[in-house]
Amino acid sequence: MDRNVIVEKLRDIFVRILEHEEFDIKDELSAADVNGWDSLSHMLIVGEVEDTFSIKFKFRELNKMKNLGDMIEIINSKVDL
Amino acid sequence: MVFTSFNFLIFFPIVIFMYFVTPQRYRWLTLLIVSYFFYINIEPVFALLTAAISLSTYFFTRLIDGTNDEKKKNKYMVINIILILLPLFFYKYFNEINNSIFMFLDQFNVRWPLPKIKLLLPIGISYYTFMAIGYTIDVYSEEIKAEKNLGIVALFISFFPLILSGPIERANNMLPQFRSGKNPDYDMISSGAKLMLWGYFMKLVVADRTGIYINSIFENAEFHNGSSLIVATLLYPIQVYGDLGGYSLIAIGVSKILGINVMDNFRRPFFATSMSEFWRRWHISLISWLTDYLYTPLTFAFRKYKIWGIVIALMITFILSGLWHGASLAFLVWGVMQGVLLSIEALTNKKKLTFEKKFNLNNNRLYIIISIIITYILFATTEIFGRGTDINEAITIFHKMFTTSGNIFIGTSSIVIYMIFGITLLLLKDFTDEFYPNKFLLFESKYKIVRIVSFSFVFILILLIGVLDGSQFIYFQF
Amino acid sequence: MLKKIIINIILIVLTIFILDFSIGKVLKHFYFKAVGGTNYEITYALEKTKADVLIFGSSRANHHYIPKIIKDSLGLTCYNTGRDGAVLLYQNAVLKSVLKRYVPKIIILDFIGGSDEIKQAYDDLSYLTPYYDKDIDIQKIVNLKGSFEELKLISNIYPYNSEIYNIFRNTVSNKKRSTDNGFKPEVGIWKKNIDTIKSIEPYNDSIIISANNEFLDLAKNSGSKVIVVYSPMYLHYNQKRDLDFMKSLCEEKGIPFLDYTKDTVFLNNRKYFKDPLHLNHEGATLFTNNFINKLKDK
Repeated sequence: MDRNVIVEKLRDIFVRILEHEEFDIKDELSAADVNGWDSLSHMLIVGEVEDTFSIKFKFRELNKMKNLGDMIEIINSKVDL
Repeated sequence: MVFTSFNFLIFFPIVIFMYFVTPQRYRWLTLLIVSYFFYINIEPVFALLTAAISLSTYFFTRLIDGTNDEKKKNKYMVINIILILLPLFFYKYFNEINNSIFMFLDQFNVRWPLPKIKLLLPIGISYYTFMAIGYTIDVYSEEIKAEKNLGIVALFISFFPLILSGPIERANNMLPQFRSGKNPDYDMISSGAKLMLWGYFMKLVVADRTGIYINSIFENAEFHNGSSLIVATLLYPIQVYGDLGGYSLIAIGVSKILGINVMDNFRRPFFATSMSEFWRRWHISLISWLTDYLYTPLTFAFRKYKIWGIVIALMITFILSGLWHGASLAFLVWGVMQGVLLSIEALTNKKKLTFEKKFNLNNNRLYIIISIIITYILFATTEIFGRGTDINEAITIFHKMFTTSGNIFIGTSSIVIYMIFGITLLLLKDFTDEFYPNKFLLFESKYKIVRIVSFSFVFILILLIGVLDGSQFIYFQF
Repeated sequence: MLKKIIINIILIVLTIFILDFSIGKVLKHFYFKAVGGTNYEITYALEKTKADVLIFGSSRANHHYIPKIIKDSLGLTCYNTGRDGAVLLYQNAVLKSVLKRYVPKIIILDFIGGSDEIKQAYDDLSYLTPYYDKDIDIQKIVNLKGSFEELKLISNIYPYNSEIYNIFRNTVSNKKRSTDNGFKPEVGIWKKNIDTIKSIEPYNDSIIISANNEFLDLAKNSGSKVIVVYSPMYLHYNQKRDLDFMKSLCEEKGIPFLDYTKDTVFLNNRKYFKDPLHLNHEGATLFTNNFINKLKDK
């Protein structure tokens, strides 16, 4: 899947769950930089990502996801299969 | 040997001296030796337990690291966690299990009364067990490589400032610091000394004094009216804050002077405006441990239930956290109460945000003050069940608070006056730190004379009105 | 860096020393200037009293024996040195100080010897820290408090720890003593039924056992008339091992021992009690009168 398509879909998910657009999409973006991305919304976002791309994460993959770049990479590796 | 005993004031300078004359690459060894010396002087036998947990953790983390087989990695992790949890379970729930079996035998008249064995809880076992579990899981999830030096692993689990009551630290912060043994800079030493002093103030002036007053009420609850019980209930969180918060500050300060940075454990908890914010400021090291190793895996497991998955995870996390404090119905109720309050907040979170935005309440002082007060009262109420009493007593106290009234119990007026003075000073400091972080500085003033005088003044205050005839530290039993 | 640290440590130690010294001296001055209040009663017991009859013991002694009644019926002056919680070690210090000045005619020890009292006995030595540098015997007793007591007492404030409010209040109000020779009445009536307790175990601490022996020997050898009393309690016991222990000790030393714990006048009347361990004023009046009659018989 095209990287830009993934990014756009992710942006939609973030906006829907967090209900604001006050973040810059870039690879270094991490949960701590985004208002409202806390331990409550985190799994909601993860679940939404799984549904949107019809994929399943493993818990350990999640642990290694430190920023948006990591997330995109893992999604990419899964949807391409 | 606890921090508030005079022995520690003699022990610590000796440790500092020994530590800094040791070459940097062997400093971990010095720390390991003094840590065991410290623990052996509390309870010699328990040091063996600490050593066994260290060995097991070292052995299994090396195995996890040494294989690429996912199944094996998982198996080693699970085995070690079960092994090191055994002593905790045994000591924590021994008496309860004992009593239930005895009761069972009594029922069938097959009880043969023999002399009883009484077990003391190894001090700090909950804390270092959690640290060892955290390290094992970190190695498993490849957050950190397994440490090859057994001594460093043993030191991580027995490091004397943290062994009694935390903060519950993480391997990825501590291990590199132990390995390097690097010298502290001037700021670390000076801030370490200030943290220690303020920790002693919180413990000796605030917590122990408040404890004398509160205990005289709670321990004789049947003789006190509802007004006094309400006052004691409202003061109890301050006592725990002074106790555990003060103790943590001493631990952090001691570590800093040795050049080791340890995480914060409390961040002005009484200025939180919601329960979820409260739990990000209160006993931070425990909550972040629970978040990482329990709550997050649970939310992951239940993620298909969306927001209700989070509610389930919150309930399980806090119920287990309650039972970690002690195997009693009261702690179970405490856990359920916390879980319910946080779930309500999670479920209404969005409505609340919209509401706040609509009326522009985020900077409204009155709204903030009311939120702070409500949060405090909610927490204080749950703590009636979190004090370690049995459920009936907690319910009686709760009931009495609303059904009886009268004058507030004073007891000894000097004790109440010192208590109010200590609490006021503590809350004033937290207040300025929270809302005016760079004003009214005393310990951090730019004038040397202010720094020196304020430091000395707090020291003198401890001499004047601290409770100096040592009393037990209430969190030890947990 | 090391130089900077050392300079700062010196500055702080110096400031603390100056503050400690000056505040400590002020506290000391006003502590001993008081003419009323608990601290004054301690000073009075240690340094001033010349009473014919002296009462020793804990809060039970303090609230149970009324000097006025003793004086009216025996014609002897009386002072009550009983202190809340302060038992066993504290009373030795008082007796030693008293015997340096004079020999009382009668010494009454109200005994309570449960092992629960031991920690209290050591902690309550803090009553004596203001007198530490005045008397070698007091010094020895205070040093029992812990192995670092001498070191702690380098501080001038430490002896007056937690006392600043009382010192200040006594100075400001400058109130003359309000007690009857140390005695303080208890008010209130116990509202619950009598409890039964399995046993009070005697104290098992060697220092305290020898202090107890020393007290009895000193009192007896001084030439005064000594009597040990176990005053009333609103409690039933299956066993009272502390009482048995003291009773046999008294027999051994030839000291009369009075046991009030089986006295039905008290056991059947909770109106005489403020709580299970303490008589109220009405109870104390009845007890003191009754006790004097028995004393006259002996």
